[in-house]
Amino acid sequence: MSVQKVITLAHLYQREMNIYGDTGNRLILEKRLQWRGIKTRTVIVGIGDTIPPDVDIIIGGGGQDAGQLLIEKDLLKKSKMLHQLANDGVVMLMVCGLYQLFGRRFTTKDATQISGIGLMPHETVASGKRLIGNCVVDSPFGKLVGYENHSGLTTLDDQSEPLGVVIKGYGNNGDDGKEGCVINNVFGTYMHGPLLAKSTLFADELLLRAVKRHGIESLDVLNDTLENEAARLAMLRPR
Amino acid sequence: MLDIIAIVIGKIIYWVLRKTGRHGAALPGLVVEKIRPNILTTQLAKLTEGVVVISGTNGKTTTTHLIATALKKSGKRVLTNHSGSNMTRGLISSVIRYSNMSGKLPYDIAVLEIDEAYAAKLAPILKPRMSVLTNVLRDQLDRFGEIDTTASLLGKLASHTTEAVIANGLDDRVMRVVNEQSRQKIITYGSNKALSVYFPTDDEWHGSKEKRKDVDCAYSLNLVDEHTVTIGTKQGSVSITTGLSGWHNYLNLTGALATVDAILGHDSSSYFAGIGAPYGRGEEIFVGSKRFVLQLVKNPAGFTTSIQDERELPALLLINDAFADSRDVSWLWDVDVSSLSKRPAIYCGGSRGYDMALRLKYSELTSGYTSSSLEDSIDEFIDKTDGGILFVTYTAMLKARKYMMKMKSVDV
Repeated sequence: MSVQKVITLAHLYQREMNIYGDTGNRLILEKRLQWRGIKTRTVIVGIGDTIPPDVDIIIGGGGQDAGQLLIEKDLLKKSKMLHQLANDGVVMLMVCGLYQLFGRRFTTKDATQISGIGLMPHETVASGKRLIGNCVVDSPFGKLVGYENHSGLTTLDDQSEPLGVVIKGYGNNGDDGKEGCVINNVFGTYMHGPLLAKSTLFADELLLRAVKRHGIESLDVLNDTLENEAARLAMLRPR
Repeated sequence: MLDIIAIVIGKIIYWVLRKTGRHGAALPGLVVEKIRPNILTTQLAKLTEGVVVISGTNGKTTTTHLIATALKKSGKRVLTNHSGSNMTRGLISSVIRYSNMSGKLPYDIAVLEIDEAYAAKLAPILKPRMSVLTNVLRDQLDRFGEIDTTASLLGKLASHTTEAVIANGLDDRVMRVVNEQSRQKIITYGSNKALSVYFPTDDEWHGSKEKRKDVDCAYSLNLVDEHTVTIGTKQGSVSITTGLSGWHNYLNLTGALATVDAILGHDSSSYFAGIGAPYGRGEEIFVGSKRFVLQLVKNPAGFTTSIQDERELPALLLINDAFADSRDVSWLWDVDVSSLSKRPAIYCGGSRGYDMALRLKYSELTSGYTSSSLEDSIDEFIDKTDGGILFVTYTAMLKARKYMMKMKSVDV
């Protein structure tokens, strides 16, 4: 494998959407590349900033309502670029607040309609309750272990693919047993934790999809004893 | 008369609980609140020197402990609540416990730490004489929802304070709500610029480029040399030999001095000499001849500041995930753990000890021993080190303290 390759990560709205430790996902992706001898470059993309056109992985996290309001307009400005990058196969992982805004629409409690960028086939409606707790999901990329904390209820379009099936927790809406959404290389989820910390098969799936675009066909195996033990123990915790 | 009956009933419940070996701090309060909903205010209104309320995310317990102890040393009879019972029912329980059978509260002044949400709710009826606002940090968002909401709760407390608001000038959110919402005298406390790096605001913490506004604080932490803390005041500089350790505690001391000076109307620094840490907040426990320090951590900013204390000592990080700790451990990833790199050893334990070890791994640090058993990790830590510092979440603090106290007399 080429060690000269540099993988570019972009972190969307790190300043505005930064609660619940989702920044950890970035650290995990960076380290899991670096430990394999692959160089990384990270760009923080805030309001008014341009997404680097040569980006390989884009991540974004959850934020407070205030943060969400701040970014809405700017995200719509970036919509075209994000659609283009998604079509090009750029890997994206959007958690919670940004997962919602990557859908078509968010309806608030007072029935205000907030437009998402429609990159993912879903819609979200605010609810009066908060779906909080440990969350375990069965996915094609192994068990996903994290923590959810949201009041928006997301419903996927009929034919669209969830990230996985809820084993413990609420998932998208606490109703249909689905968690998250996948479309091509774009992934959305409600799971914090940060999600990738204890879901290493999924972390490596994201990385593999990203490096494949650079002609790297496989990733070295890392020692994930600690990750797996942390995941095993976390799965035993009450909801 | 009904007040007296309610108090007597509360006292009986308290007594029964004690006799049956239980320590239900909230139950007497729960019952009495049902009988006399206004008991808290009517009882506290009788105090001749009023009520002082301490609120904020971090530092409530230590600041309350410092103010109450210094006032006691000055000769006042002080009613105070103990750590953990800072919500309405806990407060009512304290008032019942300390009222005498004729319904009187034999105290001059009350110094109460109150949780932000309850402080906002109680402030209009308590009308505190002074309030101390320590900081607003990301903690317990599950309960309050948003950090800006938490700040506005403190604003409400400030607006109902009658005499003076003592505010942490290093915290932009605190200063904003104080300036917006209170017309009372504002006394600021903080540190000089060089030391302010030890007290990052929540926004700096989360990568904001916005620079903190410089506030020229009335009370400024200027120097810490061994156990002597030098604080600049408008009247000059004072030095206090303290029993506390840790930067955040020196800042709490600065705020407490500002408060007690304001209450007494003269320099009160001598009353602070030698006051140690309350329960679990930088508390020292000796096991045999080995010295261990217990430091409570609750949120990313507090944890990051605390892990810089006694940097040469081995550290044991005990992370539990009970409700009082935060069920969600995501916050560990917002902690800057890099300053742990100089320590001779790092151990991890508690129900989420493995999550902590994992967090360290991604900052290229290694946990020398990891266990999901709190007790096993403490045993190992005591056995393999000559003493050290424990950073502990809330329930881990209660358990670790109890466990280590039992060992105190045993030689190791």
